[in-house]
Formats: sequence, C-alpha cells, structure tokens
Amino acid sequence: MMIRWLLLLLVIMSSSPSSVPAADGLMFEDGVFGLLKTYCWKCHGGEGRQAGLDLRSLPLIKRGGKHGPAVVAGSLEKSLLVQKLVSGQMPPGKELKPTAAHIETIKAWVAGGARARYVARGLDEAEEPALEESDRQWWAFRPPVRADLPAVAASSRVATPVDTFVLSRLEAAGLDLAPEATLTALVRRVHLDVLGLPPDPADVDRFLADRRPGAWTRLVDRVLADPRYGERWGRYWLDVAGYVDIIGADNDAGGIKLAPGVWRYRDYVVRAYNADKPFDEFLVEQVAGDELADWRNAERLTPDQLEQLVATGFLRHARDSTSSPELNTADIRHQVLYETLQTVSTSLLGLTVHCAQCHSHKFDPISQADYYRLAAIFTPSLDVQNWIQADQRHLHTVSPSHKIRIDKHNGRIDARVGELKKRAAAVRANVSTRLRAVKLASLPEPIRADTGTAVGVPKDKRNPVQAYLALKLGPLLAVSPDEVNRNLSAAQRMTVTTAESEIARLNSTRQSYETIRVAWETGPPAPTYLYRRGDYTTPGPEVKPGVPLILDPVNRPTLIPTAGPGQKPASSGRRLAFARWLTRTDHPVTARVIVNRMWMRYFGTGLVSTPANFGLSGTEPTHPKLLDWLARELVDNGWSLKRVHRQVLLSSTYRQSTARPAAEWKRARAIDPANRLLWHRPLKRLESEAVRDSVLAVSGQIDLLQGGAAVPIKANSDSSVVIDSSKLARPGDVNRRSLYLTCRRNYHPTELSVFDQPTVANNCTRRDSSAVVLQSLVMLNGSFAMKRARRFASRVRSETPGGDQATRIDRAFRLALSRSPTEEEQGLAIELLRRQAVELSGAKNANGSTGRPLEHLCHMLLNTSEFLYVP
Amino acid sequence: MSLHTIPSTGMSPVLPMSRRRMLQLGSLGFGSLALKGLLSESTARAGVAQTPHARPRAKSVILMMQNGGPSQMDLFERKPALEKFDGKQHSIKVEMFQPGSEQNKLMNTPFRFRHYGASGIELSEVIPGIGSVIDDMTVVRSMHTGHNNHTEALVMFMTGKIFQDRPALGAWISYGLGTENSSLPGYVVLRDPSGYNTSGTLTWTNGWLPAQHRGTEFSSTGTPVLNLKSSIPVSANEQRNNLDFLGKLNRIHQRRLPGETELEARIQNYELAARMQLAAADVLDISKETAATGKLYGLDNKTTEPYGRRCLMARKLVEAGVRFVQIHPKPFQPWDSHSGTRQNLGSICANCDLPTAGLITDLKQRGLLDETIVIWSGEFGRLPVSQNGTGRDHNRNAFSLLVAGGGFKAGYAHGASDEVGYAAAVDKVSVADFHATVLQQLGMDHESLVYEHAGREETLTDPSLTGARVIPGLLA
Repeated sequence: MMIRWLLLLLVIMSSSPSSVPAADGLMFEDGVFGLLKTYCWKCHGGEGRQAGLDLRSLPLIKRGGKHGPAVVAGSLEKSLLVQKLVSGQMPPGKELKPTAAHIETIKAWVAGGARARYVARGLDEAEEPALEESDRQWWAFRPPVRADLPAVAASSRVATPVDTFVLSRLEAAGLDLAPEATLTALVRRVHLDVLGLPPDPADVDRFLADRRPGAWTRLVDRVLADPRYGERWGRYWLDVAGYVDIIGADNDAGGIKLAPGVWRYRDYVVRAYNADKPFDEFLVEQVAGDELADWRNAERLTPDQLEQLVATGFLRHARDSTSSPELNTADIRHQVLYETLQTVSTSLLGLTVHCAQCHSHKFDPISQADYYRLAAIFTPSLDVQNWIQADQRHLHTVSPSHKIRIDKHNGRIDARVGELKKRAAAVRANVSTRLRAVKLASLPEPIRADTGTAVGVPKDKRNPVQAYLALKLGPLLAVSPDEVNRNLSAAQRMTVTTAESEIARLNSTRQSYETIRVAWETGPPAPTYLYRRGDYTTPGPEVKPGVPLILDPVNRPTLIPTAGPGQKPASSGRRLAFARWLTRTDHPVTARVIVNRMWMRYFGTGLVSTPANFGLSGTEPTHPKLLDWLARELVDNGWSLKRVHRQVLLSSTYRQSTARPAAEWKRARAIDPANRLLWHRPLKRLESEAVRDSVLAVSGQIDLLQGGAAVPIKANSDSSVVIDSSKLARPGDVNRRSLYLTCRRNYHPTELSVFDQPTVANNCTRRDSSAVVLQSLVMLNGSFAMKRARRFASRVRSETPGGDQATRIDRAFRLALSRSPTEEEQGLAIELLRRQAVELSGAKNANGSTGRPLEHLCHMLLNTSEFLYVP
Repeated sequence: MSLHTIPSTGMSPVLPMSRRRMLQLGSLGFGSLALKGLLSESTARAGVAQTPHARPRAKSVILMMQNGGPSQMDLFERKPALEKFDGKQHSIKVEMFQPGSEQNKLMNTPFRFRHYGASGIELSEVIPGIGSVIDDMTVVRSMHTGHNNHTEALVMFMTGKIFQDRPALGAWISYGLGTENSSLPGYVVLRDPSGYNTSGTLTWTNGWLPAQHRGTEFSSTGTPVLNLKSSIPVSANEQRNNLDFLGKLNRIHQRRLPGETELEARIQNYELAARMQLAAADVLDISKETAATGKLYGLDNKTTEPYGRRCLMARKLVEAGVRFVQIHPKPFQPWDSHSGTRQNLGSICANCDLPTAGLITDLKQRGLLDETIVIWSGEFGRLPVSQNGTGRDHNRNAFSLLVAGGGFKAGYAHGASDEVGYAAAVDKVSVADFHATVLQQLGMDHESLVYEHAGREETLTDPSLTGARVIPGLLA
C-alpha cells in the first residue's frame, strides 16, 4: 500500500510540466506510435473507436473524440491522453499497464510540442494523380454506343446483328464463318451451354422432327424457359460472387464451418436468373438490398424485403476468419473489407483496383484516393472499428421486431412448458419416493438406514462403506420410470397425461425463423481514411465515399448523397447510391462486363479476354462494336439477360461448326491463330459441375430437386472428398446437381476438384480448363463414374426391352452423346462387347449386350473426349 | 493447354502516349511467349532433352516445406545477445502479429547450440540430424519476406508474391523444364494424409500457367494416387479392351477436329493413366527398400516414420525423373510456436530431423545430391521477444533456411541477422533472390522464364518490382 502511494506521489510530482525535459527531437512515429498501438488501439484505433477517439495519427489525436482533443501540444494538463494515462484510468483493467518510462515518453512528446512527421494535409499528387486525356479516351471509360450494323458480304449468314459484327471482322481478315454444325450437335450444344446437361434422346428427336421454319428459335426459347437454366447460369454468377457455404478461410480439410442460411442467397440467384429479373434490379438488390426498404422497423418482412436482404449475401463471401478470437484483429478485419472490394471491382466494374490499396495504380488511372473512396462506400457495413464477428454477423428471415415477438411468444411457451413439466415431474417424484421407501423397508433393519444414507451421498463423497453399500444395494432400491407409471393413481395419471398433452399442444404452436447472411450498416458511418502505404496503422487524409473518377463521365468525385435534410436514416444510403450509379443506362462498364462474361461462357474467351480487367493493363476487345451493341441491347431492353442470350444463341456465329476442312483450318490458323475472330466454334470442355451433372443425367439417376440447404460433403483421410451419405436429408440428395453440394473454398468433391472447380480464395471471374491425368483417372477408375456407368447400362437395358445388340449400342450412344454411332463406331462397339464377353466367360449373354460388357461400353462412352466437350 | 495468345491483327489503339501507357508498353517490350514448357512436354515424350537458358547444375528439386514459421534463433542462428539480455526489454519495439508480446522482452532460446561437422557450423541441439549433414548444406541466415501472416507469407514463399493467383515455384519449374519421366507427372506433392497445411492447394497451384504444371498429389499412405486402381475390380485384359476401344473412339473424334491440341493431350492422358498405374505403384513401393535405407529415414520408429516415408518417396520420385517434389511435415502449421517453444520445437524436430538427414545422406550416397536441390524452409521466422512467456510471434524481417545440393555451397553459413535475430542484416537474401538463384541452378534465367498472362509477361521473380538477383555467394 505504501509503495502504491509513493508511486502515485511520484506520478503526481512528475506531472508538473516544469519537471519534464522537453524532448525536441522526439517524433510521434519514433517512440509514441508504438506505445499507443500497444496500450490504446484495442479501443481507440485499430480495433475500436470508443468515444469517437482514434489514436492512429497525430491529426486524429488532435481531432480527438467526443471529450475533445486527446492532445494539446505543449500542455500536459490539457492533454486528456496524458491525464488518463497518468491517473491510471486508461488503459482500463489490470492486464496491460504502461510502464512509468513509457508514460514519461508520452509526456515528453506532448511537452515537446507533440511533433510528428505526418501532419494534417489533403490528398497529395501521388495519392491522387491528375487524369490524363489519354486515360479518358480509353475505350472502357467511355459509355457504350450502339453502332450501325456493318455491311457484310456473306449476308446469307446473318441471322442476328451479332453476325454482322463477327462477319465484318472475319471478312476484313479474309476469313469466313465455318459451316453450320449438324442438328444433333446443335441440340446437344445448346442444352449443355444453357442448361449444363445433355439433352435426353426425346429432346433430340423432338428437335429433329420439327421441320417447320423457326425450329431453332423454338428450341432456344424452350431451353431458356427451362428452370435448369437458372442453375447453370446462376452458378456462373456464384463464381463471380465468390460464393461459399462456409465461414472463414477453410484451411482445415476435416473442419467444415458452415455458414447457416447462406444457401438462400444461392437460391435467390437461381430464381433471379430463371425469372429473368432485370439485371439492374438484380445488381441493386445485391449491393444495397438492405437499403431499399425500412426493414429495421417493419412489423413483418414482406417477401420482397426478405428477398432484398438475402440478396446482399453477395457482399458476404470474403474470407472472414474473425470468428476465431485470435484472428479477430484489425488486419484480418481490413482484409475482409479489401477482399469485398476486390469482389465488387472485379465482378461489377471489370477493374483490378487492389493494387491501389498501397499506391496509385501503375498502369490504370485508378488512384489510391479512388480506392479508399470506394472503400468508404462499404466501410459503414464493414466497420473495422465496430466489428461483428463472422459467425455473429447475420439477420433472420423475420424482421427484428417480429423476431422479438416470436422470441417472446416462444419464451411464454417455454415458461408454460416448464411449469407443466415440473408439475408432472413432481407427481412422478412423489410416487418414486414412495416406491423407494417400500424397497428400503424390505432391507434387513441393521443396514437399512445406512444404505438409505449411502445412496443419498454423492458418488465422489461416499466413504468406503457407503460406496460398498451403494454399489451392492443401490440397484435394489432403483425405481424405473415404468414402475412409476404403473403405480400412478387415477388422479395422478390424469394430472400427468393432461400436462403431457398440453406440452405437445404448446410445442406445436412454437414459431420459428432462420438465419440469413446479410450486409447491413451496423452503426453510423465513421470517417474513412486513405491508408498511407496501404497500412491501416498509418491513416492519411480523410476521403469521402465516391466512385473511381475515371468512371464517372462528369467527374464528380463524391456523388454519394448523405442523408436528406432533416432525415436520420438507419443506413447511410452509400451502397444504394453506388448501385444506382452502377446501373445507370450510360454506365461505361457495367453492361459491358456482364455481356462480356456471357460471351466468354459461350465462346470460351470473352470479347475482352480479361473479364475482370477492362483497364489499360487488360486486353482490348476483339469486337468493340459487338461488345457495345450487346451492352446496349441489354440496357435498352430493360436489362433482360435472356434477350441477350437469345441474340447470341440465334446467331450463325453460335451455330457454326467446331470443325473445318483441314485446308481451311490451316489457312485461317495462319491468319488468326487463336481464333479470336471466330472462324470456327471454339471447342470447350465442360466445367466441373457440368461433367458430374451430365454423368448423373445419362445414368438416369439425377435428382432435379431445386434449392435448399447444401448437401453435406466430407474429406476422407486418403484426401478424397465425397458426399457425406451419413448426413443426407434425403437419399436422393446424393444425385443432386453439383450446384447444391456444399461449396467450400479449398476442398471440393474429388469429381469436381480434378475438373478445375476453382479454389475460392476470393472470387472467380474465369474458370481454368486443365487436362491433367487425374481427370482420366477419376473417370476411368473412380467409384462415382463406375457406379453411374453401371446404372447407365441398366437404363440402356430397360429402355430397349427385347432389343438386340445394335439397338442397345445405339441407345447407349444416344444417351451419352446425343447421336447414333457411325457404322465404324458401331463395329468398334460390337467388337468391344465381344471381347469383354470372351474375357468374362461367365457372362450369360455371349454377345455381351447385357451385364458387365455393356457396363464397360457405357463406362467408356462417359470417358470419351466427345462426352467431355461441347460439340 | 490454355495458351493465351493475342492475334496479330492490329488491335492497338492509336492513343497519345501517357506515362502509364509507356510503362505498360515498357513492361511488354521484351521477349516473346515462353513456349518452353509446352514444347518440352512433347520433347520429353519423344525422349529429347530440352535446351535450357544456361548449363544446368541441377535437374530436380525437393522442397521440404516447413510452414508455420520455424524459429531461427532456436534452430539455426545462435544469439549470445539473447542469452545476455534474456528478460530485458528490447530497445526496438518489434512488429507484432498477435497479442502477447507487448512487454517486448527479449527471450533466450531454451536450447543449447553446438558446433557440427567439419565446417563447425553452430546449430541447435534439437536438430542433431541436420547437424550431422550440415557439411553438405548451406544455412542462409539472412532471409526476409513481405508479410507476417501465414497465408500471405506462405503464398509469397511459394509464388513470389502475396497474392493468391500466381503459379507456385514447382509449377514454374515444371513449365520451364517439362518432365523427364513420361509415366509420372512432373510436379508431385506429398503432404500429411490427415490434412492440408495452411493455404491448402494454393502452395502447389499452377495459377495461370497451363494446368498440367499444377502439383499432383500423391499420398504417402494407402493409395499413393487417388483412383490409380479401379474402384470396381476390372481385370488387366478388360481394361486393355476398354482403353483400346476408348482410344479408337477418341481418335475418330479427334480426326474431325485435327487442330485441337488439347484432344491429343487427353488421349495421351489415358495412356499416361495406364502407365501410371504400373509406374507409380512401382516407384512408390517402398517395401522393396532395404532395412538399412528404411532406418536411414526413420521408418523403424513411429515418431519419424510418417515424415520419413515422404522423404523416401521424394528420393524415389526424383530418382525416377520427377522434376519437383514438395513435401509437408504435418497439417496446418506445425512450426507455429506461439508458446511452449521447447516442447513444440522438440516435438516437430523429433518427427522431422532424422528423416531430413536421411534424405540428404541417401541422395549423396546415390550420387543424386549433385543434381538435386533440396530446400528446407518455412515462410517466415520468429521474434526475438517472448510471447506469452515461452513462445515467439511471427517475424517477416528475418528467417533462416537450408539448401543443399545442385551446386549450392556445402558446409556454409550465409549472412546473418542483427544482434538479436529481429531483422536480416548481413548479406540479405529476399525470397525473390532465392527463387532467382534456384532457377539459375536449374539452367533458367529468372528474367527470361516468362509467361504471358492478362496482357503482361509474367515472371516468377518480377525483378523490376522485387529487384531479384542471383546470389553468387550461395553457390559453390
């Protein structure tokens, strides 16, 4: 006690200004920064902003918080920071207390004029370089314009305006379109492209039988109206959003941290695609659905409001590990913000902005100031100093007030159920005690009382004699629930059954709600600073929310409105303003980015081959006028994506053959080696999901149930990942489309991962298409392919009752490849069946058209290149 | 084979040159698309050797990836100052990653250091195995890197940068040199079967390089390669019949599309798959190794056996012509010792130290060490101050690594960190420098091994940004 008094005295004495030597040389950055970071930032800087105070830089310290400036240069008395430290009031708690020397350092710094190398200033030229005229001229930064359709020589090939643009470039290079693909190739192509599944033989027959004009248009309209379209194209959008069903970084194969309710966002996307929701609306909902309506005060959520909240799940897929307390740190939180910006910029703006986190972009006119202005749009919903941990950042399928009502309602039920249970239990206890007394009375008198005592003493407190008695005689005294039931009196029985039926009735009136993953603002927006060198520990000038200068045609740096006059909204409206800007009809990039990715899905490469980078460091469009035409087509027709699909699918460009005669190929190849001008239909390998789904479809086992919670998967010790059949909600889930399997970052089901299912570090704007040996192995030897091949063979048999060998071969080809075999192929198949029948001499049918030989044939058809590529 | 070429049909816009535009053009103004890897795939199949940029000293690499951040001052670099100032506050406030080191108090190592071998290099008592082969190794004590979080630093060590889309070192080397064994992939990964390390498959990704350069995972227990055996029994003759039929069908399909090279790769893959069923089983069958060899790798001991198997498999794979083998000791981040340094390091060293020595010894006695570069490294080092009393937090400013064979010096200690081991100080080596030096020993110039991606000619080392240079001092 004495010592503490002495220390206090020392502190008081040394707090007089005259006793502190002025340290002229001491700068904030040298000795003070580290101390404040250690002692104060948890609440006033990196991870908190309590009392509005941020101690990360001298300007912020001088600005102070709601109690005024934290430091007044030269004055220890007026500097709250010093006063709080000296009095021991700060930092609170006992764990982290500054040493006397550290306090002296801070005092010396204040007394010496509170100097710092970084002092308040505006943005400098490095942080915001002037835009150059050449930048403004860059194609992607000027709004798309609908060009006149060019005249072309091969006018007979013009089916939609798309063809004029493609033909015009081909003809200028002395090339032409390939001939039209066969009808069977076309019907397979459009099914695989639009639905991600091969056509059934019946679909093929129907198309081939339609001899009236417009058969192709009718087929295109049919597939675009098929609900499997939303699953196929919705999955592409989920790539772009970086969709995962889990929380965190997913570094542990065995540990799956599911994010509850995230699947609702997946289903929202599928529904939006199937309904052809106007794409501007789709984007606005995803970026700012929570700002479209006052759900906070809603009595009940309308279906639209729920939909809009769920849509903001788009912003919730960044790797967020902050549910682990040791990772709930300022830099990990910032990482979540940065990765969200990365997703937004690559998916919506077609720009790579992440390098501007640390310095103005080297190649593109994206300044560091632009980056943090963009960040400021999202900081109110990802406020690093007012953080909600990943596993707690969610809302519910009901409004907040509705949730309170439900909780109250259920609480009342809980209380009532509790009472009833207690009442029934009391009756039972009563009977139980009576029965036990009877049993005890049957024991010999000398040990009766001791035994009664022994069993009543808790197990670990019994003395050896009691332990012995309890062990030996305890069971004799036990009363089973059955015994109790048998010995209830009529009145007791009535009490118990009444209570139990009332409990059941009450439980059936419980109300429920579920979790949804939402982006929403969790408090009033804080200032956003440009971080010098991209480091959150060195905040620079404050920036206001805004969009990259180069993308705004009238160069307004801060177009985002704050709250209207007299209003005090629950949300700043920053994201809504951003979304509205993004979906302006004259926006330079939004529509181009969308149609370019669509083109990439159909033709393997986008018109701009860098779909996430339209800037100067990206590549330029091969067909700029076509890109613009498609973009305008989208915007000018109510943002209907299906309309643009139609323009592409109906074109001759889409319908041309993958193959060309060798001489033509050679000539064209010499002029345009990469086929960027589209002198033939590029050969595309099916994506991972389409491979698995196609196998399921051909086997006849596919389960086309739409939506709902993700199908569980698990990682095996041999490093394979499979569907966890022990946890399926329904047996058919094992045959669901791949879209519905649990989506992790790193550990995908083996059939998908070997076919380049992307690792979701951030998001994926372009799929890889590799040809590695593991793909051959999984299709050749893996149990998924082999088992489905077996079912495929059964299907062939059941669909060709009484059929001969040729009929079965034909059916197998038509199911797997949507066409009949050629004579040569027929011969090879017969030969395979014969050889396998000989090999398997035990097989019943010598011609091999049943049993194992047929399974082999079916299995090999699933292994063909033709099966794996869109024709 | 997703080869990104730009058509030569003039697409450059006529624009006034801006500063950024010039920069951009400048970065594209040299070299052409590197086709080397793609060519060597086929030349390797035809048995033709590849001509590299320079005369190679080594032809394969074994990377022993020790992720988590092995502690340099507890393993590789004795710091008398830590002994002297143990428990004293350090004069420099160190850069922390996690809480626990606020006191900034220096902490001595719980281990003694000894002089090992003829070279007399001082190393910790906890790695006597490595000590026993230090005369064949170089210890680099002046490494530094760019980030102090595991994922970023690990991705940086593997790919040169902290961003997660770039190809791993092994992918670059496979791309640059192709494979020497047509029955095995060029880049093989052996991890602990019980789980992935931090960053998972990112550490062997092909990034935007053609996909055949991605590391192929072999398992060191059970089935070495997933699906190498048929999941439903199929006799060899049945499979031959199947593959013959499949090959013919695929050739017919290919005839219609003669220009599509990927179809050829796919046909080859089915043949490779068939060859691998035999070759991989043969190469990875360690049961035929002698008891003496097994002992060398610690296969006779439960503690060392799992990692020992991977080390032995690595030798067999490079012996069989695999270009790059990457092995991991334990899942997650085994060297990440935020507390209990003595126990944690003691335990992981008990698993790994002996097999590491066994691998070096075995390679040497088989004459393979000259042509194999063996790298032992983590992604960063640790702080000289105590965290939670007995641990150390992450440190990007200094770490140590080991490298052996392939023309690197033997029995040599390179560079040094500062007095307490906080920051690399003498003869500093960056991750990019190290990559450049490894590539050179394989006969490749790090500035010329390029791949065009998204309109940029990318390199592993990005020398204009990183200043990467070959470190001659590391080389014999």
